[in-house]
Formats: sequence, structure tokens, C-alpha cells
Amino acid sequence: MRPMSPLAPFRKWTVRAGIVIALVVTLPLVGLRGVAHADLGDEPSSKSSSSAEPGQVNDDGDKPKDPSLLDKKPVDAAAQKQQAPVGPPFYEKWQFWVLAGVVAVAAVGLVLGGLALSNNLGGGDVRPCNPMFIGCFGEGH
Amino acid sequence: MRRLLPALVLGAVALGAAGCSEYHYHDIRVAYDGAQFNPNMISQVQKCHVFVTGADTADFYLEGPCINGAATTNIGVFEFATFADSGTLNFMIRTYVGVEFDNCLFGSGTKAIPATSAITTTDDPNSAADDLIINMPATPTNCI
Repeated sequence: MRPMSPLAPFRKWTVRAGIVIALVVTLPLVGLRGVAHADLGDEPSSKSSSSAEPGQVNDDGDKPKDPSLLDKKPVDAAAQKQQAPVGPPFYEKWQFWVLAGVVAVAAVGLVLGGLALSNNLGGGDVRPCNPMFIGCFGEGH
Repeated sequence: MRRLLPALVLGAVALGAAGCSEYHYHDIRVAYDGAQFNPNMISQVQKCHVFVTGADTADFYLEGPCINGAATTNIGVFEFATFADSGTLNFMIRTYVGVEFDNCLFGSGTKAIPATSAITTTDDPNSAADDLIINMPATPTNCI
């Protein structure tokens, strides 16, 4: 057998160990990045996936790039709205039915009043024809 | 409420601007000029067409004594209703023997009446001055 230097096995071991550790660390991270993008409704960019090389993994890559997604305030506001106490439906309130009744009565009154006013403005009804006349003609006849 | 009130006021102003209409009635006596038409000729009339022009426009047919061979010079009174309260109402009557063709024209007459604000303008039965007199005889040819 060829005698080996004492450093050679250690260097081989360190290179293999480095590759294994890099793979062990990198593969889950690459998988997690895809899951993270899928949760956000965004496809992982080809650049990031193609450039994912061992040793170049960046923890910032897991963060959504859209700043609005990082802003928690709108989500919190929406959640607060949803959590606000909801009262009974509007049609179960007596005020609604009072208002509806007033509106219905006003509408009927407006229609009837409008018809009467229109008839008066149009001269009203023509007077009946005198039976002694040979005929009545013109407006209203 | 602040918006409804101006809308109601505007609506009332618009209705006021549209103006109110009021009926005005004109009672018109129709008669033949007895000096130019004899009863035998009058009994042959089959169409009495009245035209109104001027302050109002209309046309209509008189029936009854005008066409039923009554053979009387005094046809009767008709009433004309109008919204016009100014200007002049021009009445013209044309009577025909047979169909309403020019060659069947029997007689015609005209009368101009002022349209006033009075509700009813009645005919004076004791005066022929306000009558619609048929006083222009024609000669029907090839009508019957």
C-alpha cells in the first residue's frame, strides 16, 4: 500500500463532510423556500432556484419580497373588523319597518297626489255635453 | 331632508312654469241661410264637416239634423271646448251631397270668434250675428 500522509485522510474527510453537510442543510432549505412561495401564491423565481447553490443560501430569500405582505396592519384591521360584534339583521329592527312604512305611504301619496295634480293642471275633466246640443267637440271630447 | 326640500321646491316651480289649463266652451249655432238654400236641397246633405283653425285646431263631423234629411235651415247648436284663451277661433263648415268630394260640395260658411278667458261663450238665440251660417252655396255635379 501506498503510504498516506497524515493530512490526506483528514482533507478528504473534511471535503466529503462539507459536501454532505452542505447537502443536508441546502436541500431542506430549498424545499422550504418552495413551500414558502407556494403559501404566498408566488412561484419561486427561476433565478433563485437556479442560483441556489451550496453555500449561497440566503436566509432573506425566505421573506416575501412584497412589502405589503410584511405589513401586518391591514390584516390586523380586517381581523378586528371581523371580530367586531355583529348585531341582529337590519330587517329585525323595528326602526327599519317604521322607515319602510313611512316610505311606502309617502310613495302612494306622491303617486295619487301627482295624478290629481296632473289632472288639475290638464284642465280637469271636461264638462258633460248638453243633451240639447247636436254634439260636443274639441278638448276632452 | 336638506336635499329633499330644494327638490320639492324645484318640482313645484317646474309645475308652475308648465302653466295651468282651463277649459273654455264655445256654443255655436249652425244654420243655413234660408234665402239661398231651400229645405228640399238641404235634405240631400250627407256630410257636415267642421274645421277649426287659429287659436286651436280641430275638425269633426256634425250629425243629427245636419245629415238626416231634416230639411230645416236651423241645424242646431254644438259646443266646442278649448284651452285657448286668446287669439281667434276660425270655424268653417262644409256640407256635401254624397261623398266628401269637391264636386259634391253643397254649401259652406265661416265664423271667427275671439278666444277669451270666459268659461262659456253662449250663443244668443235671438240673434243670428254669432251663428255659423252656411251661406255660400255650391253646385254639386255627378255626385249621386
